[in-house]
Amino acid sequence: VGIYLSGWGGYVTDWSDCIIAIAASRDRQAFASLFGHFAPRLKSFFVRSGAAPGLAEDLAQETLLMVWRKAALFDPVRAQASTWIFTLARNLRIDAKRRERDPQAVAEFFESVVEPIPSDYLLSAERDALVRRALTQLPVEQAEAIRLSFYEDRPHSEIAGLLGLPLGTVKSRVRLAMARLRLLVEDKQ
Amino acid sequence: MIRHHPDPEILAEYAAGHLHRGAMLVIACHLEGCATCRQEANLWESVGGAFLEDGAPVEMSDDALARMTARLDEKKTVPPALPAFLSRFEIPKPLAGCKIGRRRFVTPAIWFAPLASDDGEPRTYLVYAKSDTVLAEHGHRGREFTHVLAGAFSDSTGTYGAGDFALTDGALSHAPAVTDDGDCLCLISAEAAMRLVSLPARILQAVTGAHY
Repeated sequence: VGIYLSGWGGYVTDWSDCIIAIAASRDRQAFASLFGHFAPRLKSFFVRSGAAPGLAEDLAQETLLMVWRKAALFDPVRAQASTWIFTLARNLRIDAKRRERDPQAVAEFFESVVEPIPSDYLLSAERDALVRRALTQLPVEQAEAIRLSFYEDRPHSEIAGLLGLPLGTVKSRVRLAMARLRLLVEDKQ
Repeated sequence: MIRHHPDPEILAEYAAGHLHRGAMLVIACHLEGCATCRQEANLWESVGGAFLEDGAPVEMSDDALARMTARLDEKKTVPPALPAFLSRFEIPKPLAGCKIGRRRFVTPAIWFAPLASDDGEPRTYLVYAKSDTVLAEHGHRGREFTHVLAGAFSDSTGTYGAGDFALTDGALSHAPAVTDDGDCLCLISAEAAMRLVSLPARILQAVTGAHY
């Protein structure tokens, strides 16, 4: 099963099936496939978010351990694999940044905040396809602005330094890019 | 009916994980009951998923999968049971799995129960006040995220009922009054840690108007 998305690396395997297999039968082979695909991407996510390579690798493993444990909560109609895994990683990043500020901090109270949130109006596959297409339609510098601020969690001041732009320009570019992306997705619905 | 929603900007911050854990929890509770906001948050989570899928992979070490596989049989921790004093309330799923501390009564009509340890992190707690209770005017430092779990309260900005989201910022000084719609239970997470005034003192201060 695959959806062809030009500009996004051709065919995208349906990783949801792997998560379903893990939930159904603790399928270690499915887990290994998922690991092969997502672990290096998760490591990339954490490195880009500012973690040292060793920590990034630990956090990538931590994310996939959560996938293994919470697989039964995954509903492919409601969230695509990559989107669901992103939400798990995103929450681990919050804890990692907190520990960085305060090494004594414990996160036990909020252990379970991460649950997949059901979507309603659009099937997840449709929504994800729309979002990906919209990202390719954005001007490159706008997509880059969203990636740096939204995905990589970089402060606007840091982005300004990276891109050699005034702070005000970065702020308005991020805002504009997000508004434009939303319009592109809404237009297609 | 939900009347007060988080702004789209807050939902994008939620989706990106730019909020502290307590605020993430408050928003997650709102999302459970609000299809409109779920759709907005899902949009940005999909953006995160797309970037994750598209990101240039960074190679893992050779033994990473083997080390990972060895951990798959580790026992997972059992989520704590909800305390008995919450049994008469409908508790959203994201909150149900959280460890909730002992409740402390400030007056016979008001108690709070903390969710996070007091180690300088933003504070997250449940606040309960009986019907028709009024809190004395108090201010805020930084943003404060509130989800109404039961009952309703009013302040100068409006009336907030079950399922509603309220955001106060450093500029707002308000005197929330619980309406006569029944007892009010809220989940609150404050962004700025209170350093000078302890939480019980702040609530006592809010209730009694006493300053110390």
